[in-house]
Amino acid sequence: MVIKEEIPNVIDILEKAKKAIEENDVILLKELGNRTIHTASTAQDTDSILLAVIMYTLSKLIERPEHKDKAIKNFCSVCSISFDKAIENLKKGKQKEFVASLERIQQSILRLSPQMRDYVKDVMYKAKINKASKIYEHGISMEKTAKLLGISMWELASYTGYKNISEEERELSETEQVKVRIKTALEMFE
Amino acid sequence: MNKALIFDSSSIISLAMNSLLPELRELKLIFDGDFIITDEVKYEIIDRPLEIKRFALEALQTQELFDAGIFVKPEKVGIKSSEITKMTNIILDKANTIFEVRKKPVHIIDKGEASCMALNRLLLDKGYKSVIVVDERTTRILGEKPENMRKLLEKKLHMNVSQVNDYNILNFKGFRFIRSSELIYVAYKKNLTKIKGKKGLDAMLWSLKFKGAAISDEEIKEIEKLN
Repeated sequence: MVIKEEIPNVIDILEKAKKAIEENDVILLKELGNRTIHTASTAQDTDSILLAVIMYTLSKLIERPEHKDKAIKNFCSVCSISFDKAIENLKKGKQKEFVASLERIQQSILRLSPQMRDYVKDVMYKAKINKASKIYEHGISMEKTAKLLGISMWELASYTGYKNISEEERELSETEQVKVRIKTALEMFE
Repeated sequence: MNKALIFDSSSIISLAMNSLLPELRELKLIFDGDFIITDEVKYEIIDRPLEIKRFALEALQTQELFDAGIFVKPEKVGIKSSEITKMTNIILDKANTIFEVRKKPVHIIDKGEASCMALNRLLLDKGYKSVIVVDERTTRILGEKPENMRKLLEKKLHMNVSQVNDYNILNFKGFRFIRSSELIYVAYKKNLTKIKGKKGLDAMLWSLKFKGAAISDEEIKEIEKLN
C-alpha cells in the first residue's frame, strides 16, 4: 500500500512516466525509477518496489533497438494506459484498484509472443536486480533487500560488488580498521 | 576458551561464488573451535539456492561442507534453536525500530542477519570467544558504529532520519565482525590457499569484492601492504 504522504509523489511519477513513454525519454524514466526507490527503501511497500521495477524495465525496453518491434511498442502503450488507470484510482483513494492497474502490466507480458515474453521477462528480471542493488545501497541489509524484491541473496551478491561508492559513503561503511579485523581473524586461529 | 566463528549467508555466498570453499575447509581443519550456521542462514545458503538452477552447484558444495561437519548447527554447542529464535526476535525488534523516516520505522535487517547476532550474544554469555563472519555492510555498521547507519540513510534518502531509540543503539555495540576477505588472508598467511603468492592473494580479494563482499579498493590495498 502506498503511504498517504507519498500519494502525490506517486501520481506525479506516473504522470511524468506517461509523458516519458510518449517521448521515448529513457533518462526521465530512469530518474523516475530512482525517485521511487527512496520510497521503496523506507516504506518498503511492494507497490513502490513494483513501480520502480516497471520504470526501469520501460527505460531499458525503450533504449534498445528491439523497441522498434510492434509488440514492444504495444507493451509500452499498455503501460501508459495502465498508468492512467493507476492515477485515477490513486486519486480516488482506491488502493486495491491501483495495485490491480500495475499488476495488469505484468499480466500483459504473458500475452506477448514466446520470444518477446522471454525478452521482456529478462529485462524485468535485470530491473529487479538493479533496483535491489539500489535499495541495498540505501542501507537496507542484503537479506532484507533480497526478500523485498523476491530474489535470492545469491543474485544480489553477484551484482553489488560492481557498484562504485562515493568517498563519504566509503568512510561511513568502514566502521573498523582493516588491520584490526585482520588481527581479530588471526587471533581466532591461534 | 571455546571459540566459534558464526557465518552469515553473505560471507558463505561470497566464498562459494568465488570457488573458495576448499580454503574454508582447510581453515576449519586448523581451527580449534566450531564454524556455526543458524537455521535461517542454512535456508539462505543451501535450501533456497538448491531450487535455483544458477546457484544449485554452489548450494550443493556448501551442503557438502555441512554434511562433513565443517559447518555445524548451534545445537552442537548446546544452544537450542528456540533460544536463538527468541533472541533473534528481540534483536529484529530493536534493530528495526532504531531509525524512523516520516515517523515510520525503517526495517534495516532480516532474520538471518539477526540470528547471527543473537547466536553471538548467546555464545558470549556461555563464555565463548566468538566472531561473526559477515560480508554485507548493514549488519556490520549496525554492530560497530550504528551512528554511521543514520548518516548513511540520510545521505542516500535525502531525507531527515530520526534516531528514535538511543537505548537500542547501545544494545548493538560490542559485536566483532570479520569478512570472507580477512578469512582468506588468514588462509593465505597459513599457506592453505590453492593459489599461492601475492598475485594469488590480490586476485582472491578482488574476486571477493566483485562477488558480494563489501570491501573497498583501499581496504584491499591495505591488506596487501600488511603482507
